[in-house]
Amino acid sequence: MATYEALFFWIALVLYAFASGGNIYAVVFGNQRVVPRLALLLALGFALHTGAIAARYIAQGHMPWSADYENGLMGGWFIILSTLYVAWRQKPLQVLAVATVPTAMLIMGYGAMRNPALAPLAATLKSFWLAIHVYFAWLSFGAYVLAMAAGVVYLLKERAAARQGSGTGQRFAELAPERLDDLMFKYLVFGFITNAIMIAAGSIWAKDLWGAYWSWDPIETWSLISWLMYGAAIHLRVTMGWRGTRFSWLMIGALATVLVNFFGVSILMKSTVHVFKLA
Amino acid sequence: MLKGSLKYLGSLGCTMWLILALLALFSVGFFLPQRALVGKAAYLEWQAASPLLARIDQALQLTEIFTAPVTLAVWVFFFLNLVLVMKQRIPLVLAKVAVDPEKAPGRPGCAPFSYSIELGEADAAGVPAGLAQLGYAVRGTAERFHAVKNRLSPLATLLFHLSFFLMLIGWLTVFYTRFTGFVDLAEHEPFLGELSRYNASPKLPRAGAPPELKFVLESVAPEVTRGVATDLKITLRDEAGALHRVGINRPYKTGYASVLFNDLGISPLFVVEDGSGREIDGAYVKLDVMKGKQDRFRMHGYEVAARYYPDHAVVDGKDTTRSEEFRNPALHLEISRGGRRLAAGTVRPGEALQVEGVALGFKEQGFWVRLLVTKEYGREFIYAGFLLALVALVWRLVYYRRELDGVVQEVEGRRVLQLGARADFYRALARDEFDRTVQRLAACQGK
Repeated sequence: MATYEALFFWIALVLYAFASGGNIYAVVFGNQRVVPRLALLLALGFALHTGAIAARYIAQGHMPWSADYENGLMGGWFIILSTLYVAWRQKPLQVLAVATVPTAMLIMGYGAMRNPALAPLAATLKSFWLAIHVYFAWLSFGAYVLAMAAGVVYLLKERAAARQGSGTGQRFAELAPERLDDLMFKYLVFGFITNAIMIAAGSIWAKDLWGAYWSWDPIETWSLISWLMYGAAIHLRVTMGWRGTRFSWLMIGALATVLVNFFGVSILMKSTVHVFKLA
Repeated sequence: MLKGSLKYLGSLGCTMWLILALLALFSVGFFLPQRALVGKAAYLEWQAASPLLARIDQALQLTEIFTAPVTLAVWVFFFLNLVLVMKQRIPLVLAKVAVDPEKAPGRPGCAPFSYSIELGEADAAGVPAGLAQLGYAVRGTAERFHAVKNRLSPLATLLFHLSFFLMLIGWLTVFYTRFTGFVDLAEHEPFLGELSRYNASPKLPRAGAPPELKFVLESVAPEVTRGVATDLKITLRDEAGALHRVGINRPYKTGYASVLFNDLGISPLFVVEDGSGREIDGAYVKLDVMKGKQDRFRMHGYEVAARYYPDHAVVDGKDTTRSEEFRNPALHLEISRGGRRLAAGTVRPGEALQVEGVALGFKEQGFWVRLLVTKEYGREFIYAGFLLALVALVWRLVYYRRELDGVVQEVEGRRVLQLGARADFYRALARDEFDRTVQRLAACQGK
């Protein structure tokens, strides 16, 4: 890591941690008033996070889009950006940060433990199609995380309502379950479309790099599994009427396939061509 | 029986089961190492070590799952299911998009969302005009109308399913016409497209001919920075004398054929000179010695083992490399004959190793590259399929259909526009949109 990058990265992570803790407190104790302040804290962390990316860009001379750390750095940035964007568009959605920020922290922390060393951009990664591929991967990942977060809040509200307590059910009254249900589907649709573009761009890139559009490499296979999983979710929703609780659990469970794709495959598999050896 | 089976095969439930079956098969392919990925040697080693598991694998083809009969069968059922579902859907979708101007107008009572706009003395004619401004196509009169936005959106469902067939055609075309072969070429070496020049046996197309490529490998210039391969410039000269630049991610494409970089090695010029300095043998030798590997070659009856150091240094009396950059290349050579070691030493370009009265000289360092030559047809179908799928997804799920039915009624002496609204897929978000639409319409009426 570059000096300023490290500084910004760790301060951003600490701010995200405070924002996460605060959001969990707000949801558990039903204290809605702190949420806008936490959104400001999140925005400050995001500004520093952006600074960390800029510092890395200046130090390396290229966008950070290779290896686990840079995936975590940029993936986390897109998740927080998505969270802030939906919170800016609709204030009640600030509470989605309760699930999105911990997810961003998780992947950023994992990346930081892997390979944060500065490195020149490998020739294998110098491709226009890679830029498209990675950009849409992050967009879809951000959307899927939002769908998961909407699912988490839906379940929390449902649970609170079942207990007839004064917790989440009443405090976050603007977020009607029906609205959360629609939002889950909307984020899913956005993620599914961007995911499809990601796979298509990756195939075109693969053709130029390895000579075939599709080679059943573990990463390719798992990205197809992930896309099919979300495709099945759309099918279940549109044709079989899956909504509410079942659909929330589906959105939470399906995110595991994306997490595996981003980080798990390089741990599980040694034979994937997607592990771009630097040396 | 057949009718029942076909009915089930055309059901949406069957679609779900087939998607789940594909997910399960792909998961097997993900978790079990596949032969194509681990390589034949590693698979044979595993087969020898675990004969029982290997027998199970041979029976079920779990390590070749993507081409196993069970997978192909699921794909066949998947496309059959698509055909049958489309067959059922086509009339329904066409009926939905073809709004009958006689029957469609005015069914507000059946819609999930209903609104009332008091017209008072105002003219109801402004409502259809207002809806038209919002992108609705309005049919009927101001007193009784049906307005629809994104009327043709359901057609996208059919297009999405059609895209799968385009991709299938593309994949089948690629499968039957694909040629792949690896060829190793040193700098200045010509390639005339002969099948015998390819390493091992090239994979010949089941239909069509191999590519007729002719070129000379003019130069190879790799670039390594801080241990990372940051660039590679390969120059090819074709029959017409035109130069083509090839690199990582930058294949040379001619027609349906592509030439891609696959691997890099060094090809030093070795020369054997006698005691008087006369050249008695010599050649450019392709060596696979990158990343510390050892390679062997024969020259003038000698067996030579070579190890390469791109940025040579001697540390504690041992040869090593400071980096992977080609700053100070050197070769450690061990010369033997009949298993008897005769000489060993490290030489840089321009230096030689003495053995039995002759000198084996390392004159200059060139490079060789392994090029992957491919040729296949069908990419147009694959691209069209991807594009159609994306357009269909956006069209159906983003530009989803909204409908409004309106009837002007007399209620207690007042004129009231009763509106019924419905939208595909969404409830709360659709209601928000309809609320805004109705507010705008009411505002237009001066309410």
